[in-house]
Amino acid sequence: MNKNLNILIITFLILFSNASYSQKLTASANETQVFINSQLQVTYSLTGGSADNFYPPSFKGFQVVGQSTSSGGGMTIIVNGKVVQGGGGEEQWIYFLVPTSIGKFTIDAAMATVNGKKIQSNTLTIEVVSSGSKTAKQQNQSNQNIPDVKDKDIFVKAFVNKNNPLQGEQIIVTYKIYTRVPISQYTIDKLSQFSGFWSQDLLKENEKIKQSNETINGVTYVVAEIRKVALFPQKSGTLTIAPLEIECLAQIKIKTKRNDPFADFFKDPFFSNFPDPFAESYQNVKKSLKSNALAINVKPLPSANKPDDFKGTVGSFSLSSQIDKTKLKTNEAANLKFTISGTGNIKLVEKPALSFPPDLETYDPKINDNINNILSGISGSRTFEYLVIPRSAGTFKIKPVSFSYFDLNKNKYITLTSPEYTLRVEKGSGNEAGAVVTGINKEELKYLGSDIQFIKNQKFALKPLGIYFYNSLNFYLLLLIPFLLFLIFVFLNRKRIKENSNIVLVKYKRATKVARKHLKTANKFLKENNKEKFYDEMFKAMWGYIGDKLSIPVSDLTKDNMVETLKMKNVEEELINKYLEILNYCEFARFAPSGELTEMKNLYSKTIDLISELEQKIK
Amino acid sequence: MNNVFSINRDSFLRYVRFIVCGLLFVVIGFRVAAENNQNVIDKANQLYQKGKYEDALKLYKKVIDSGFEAAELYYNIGNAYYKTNNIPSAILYFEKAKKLSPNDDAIDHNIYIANLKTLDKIEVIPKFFIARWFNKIGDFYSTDRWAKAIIFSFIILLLSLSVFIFTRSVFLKKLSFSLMLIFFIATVFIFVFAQIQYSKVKDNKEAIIFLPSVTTKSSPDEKSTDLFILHEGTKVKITDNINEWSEIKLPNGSIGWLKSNSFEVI
Repeated sequence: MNKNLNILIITFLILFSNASYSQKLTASANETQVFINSQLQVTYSLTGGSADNFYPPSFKGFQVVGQSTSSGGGMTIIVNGKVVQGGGGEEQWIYFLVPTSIGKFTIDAAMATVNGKKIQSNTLTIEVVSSGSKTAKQQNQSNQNIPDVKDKDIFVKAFVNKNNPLQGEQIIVTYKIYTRVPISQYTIDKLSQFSGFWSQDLLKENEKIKQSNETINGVTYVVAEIRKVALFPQKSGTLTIAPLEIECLAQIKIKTKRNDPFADFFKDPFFSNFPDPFAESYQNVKKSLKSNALAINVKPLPSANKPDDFKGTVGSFSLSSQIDKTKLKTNEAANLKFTISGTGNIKLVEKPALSFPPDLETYDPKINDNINNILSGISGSRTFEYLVIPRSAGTFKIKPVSFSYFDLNKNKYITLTSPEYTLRVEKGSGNEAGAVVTGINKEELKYLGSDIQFIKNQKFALKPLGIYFYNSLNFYLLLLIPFLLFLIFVFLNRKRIKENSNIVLVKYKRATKVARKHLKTANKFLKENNKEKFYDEMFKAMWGYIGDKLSIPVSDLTKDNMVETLKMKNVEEELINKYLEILNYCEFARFAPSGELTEMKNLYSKTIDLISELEQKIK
Repeated sequence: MNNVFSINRDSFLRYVRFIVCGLLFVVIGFRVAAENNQNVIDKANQLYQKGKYEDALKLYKKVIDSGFEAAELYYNIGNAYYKTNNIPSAILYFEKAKKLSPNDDAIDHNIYIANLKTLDKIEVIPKFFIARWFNKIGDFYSTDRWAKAIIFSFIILLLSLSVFIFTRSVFLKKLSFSLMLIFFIATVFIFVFAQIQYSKVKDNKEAIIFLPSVTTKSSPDEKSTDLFILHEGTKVKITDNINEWSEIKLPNGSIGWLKSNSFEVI
């Protein structure tokens, strides 16, 4: 009857809720007086609407040990304070409080917004008394009322999709919670340490947990995946995954005996517009759960045909590259993109080993990840974006980039190669690259303001291209001709020297010449009528001639040895006498110049005749 | 018979006339070409002064194409290239001018200025001082002037030798002997200098990098290790050639291989 009345009232309130003014938030506590060590349950009930937001009070003097929400009597699970599943009708927020100190406390009003309207609950006054003042019996009784949650009612299990993966191959570990009792809350106590793996959570936080039903041995469980991790083993061998430990609050249905006078008071039909939380109440029971440990046997990757640039990427990938321009000017930037996409440990893909020509300025690549952590594993793409700025003009080649991975489908190593890019860089306008580098390299520049010297404007001689005087025929001829002349000279001179070596012969040959020279001079004096000098020359001519001719040195020459030698040479006596006569005359005339001009002329011609005659005689 | 002879005589005369005319023509043609070129150079110089460097270049180049060269001509071309901001070409032509006239301050100055605009700064390894002196003295004159000096010195040598042989005077003999000795040594040295200059001019061992930037390789192979980068305008020495590759040496002693299309021989 009591229950029926409640339902009636709720129905009534629901009907009125459409009018949107009849929402009511009521606060109630199961006890107004609690022991310091016991638990207090505070319930906020919203009738006549559905709350958009609920703001609990601060619960000063109490510690919140648990909370649950129910609506319309259906099961509601709250994960980390958020409603995961809810229904319509009446909504309840139940807080389990433990007092922290003794005294009288007022629990402030809670607030909720319904259809944008704020509504407030009433406040509650709770008196906390020290233990012992209340009978222990009651407490014992309430403790006995809480049944223990059995292990088979709630447990956590770990699954792995592959027990024998290759090193680097993606495996997915799923933790599932199996429960036959409603769970109000759970917290993961200890995150599994995936040592030896690179891990990536696949379930996003705050994501709605999927629930399903599963029957094991004829018992139906509600199953929820609470954690799903993609694991990439980093080494081979047997790797163990430590169990996941979680703590959860299970809601156990309990039936309390209504021996509480306050409860009886609430039970009064006149106050029955309050829902009775004790009729069918849920008690939160803390339960620690531990999953099974997993042993993964990781097979090593084949060592045969392992490419040099293999960095441990396993999966199936594709490589694409793209450059936004290949013709540019100095100091203009080009964008070079390498995209590696596929399924596998894409986040471990390292930047490609690019070797840029040193004249290209580059920076570390911008790495963009587009990774989908979907439940079936990790896939996506990783883009390496290089900014390339050529600092000087020219043609530059960006060598191809290779990326190696182990393909799980084909079961072999695959090396992907990007095309080679050729950058054609033209000189940019203005003082570009040169200025940049010059500033650094040539600081000691002193002639900054100077210029080249002016062109040569004066006339200059042109010469045939590539023809040089040195080493030319002319050059050698000009060397050879003087040399030949020299040789001829030496040759002729040799003959002369040979002859010179025979002084007698020379003198003999020169005798006439010398005589003629003297006679010539004599002739000159004759014309000048210089008698003294004339006779002198005449004497020299005759005396010298005979000395030379007879090869007698002038110092040794006397008239006596002259006559003797001439005789030896078979010269006629008459001729010798004539010669002596003229010689004597000349000698005499030198000191006493006299005689007429005709006489001198006569003497001159006579002497010439005589010398000519002697010339023929002396051989 | 007389007739026949006269015909022969006529044809002979005609032949002589032809030869003479031909020679005259060649000589006159040469003169005309030289004069023409002088006109072209004058015109080019005027264009240069007006700042029309490109046009001046064309005219200067025309003279070269007609088969003539001169240090001054190369120098002017280098200037024109410099003004049009074509530094490697400017350096190339300045260096060409320097080969023909190694002891010209203006050329040296312009080479220095043009080199300020190049990127590579290469420390020159100091040579052994004797080699340095030889190079410096060698640079006093161009090859042809050295060649003329050889002839001059050689003739004096021969003359003093002749005097030495001929003279009977002790004084002249002593004088001519010392002259002979001096000019013998001089001739030998001048020959060395001329040869140094000649090999500089003729052997084409130097080149100017023409590509904006080029990477030298450790061996004549595209795949070999990159050694160092050279930029346009840098002067290198060519030490070896294999197919399309040339081994180059820098003044600082670095050696690398370059493709022959990356430079222009001076």
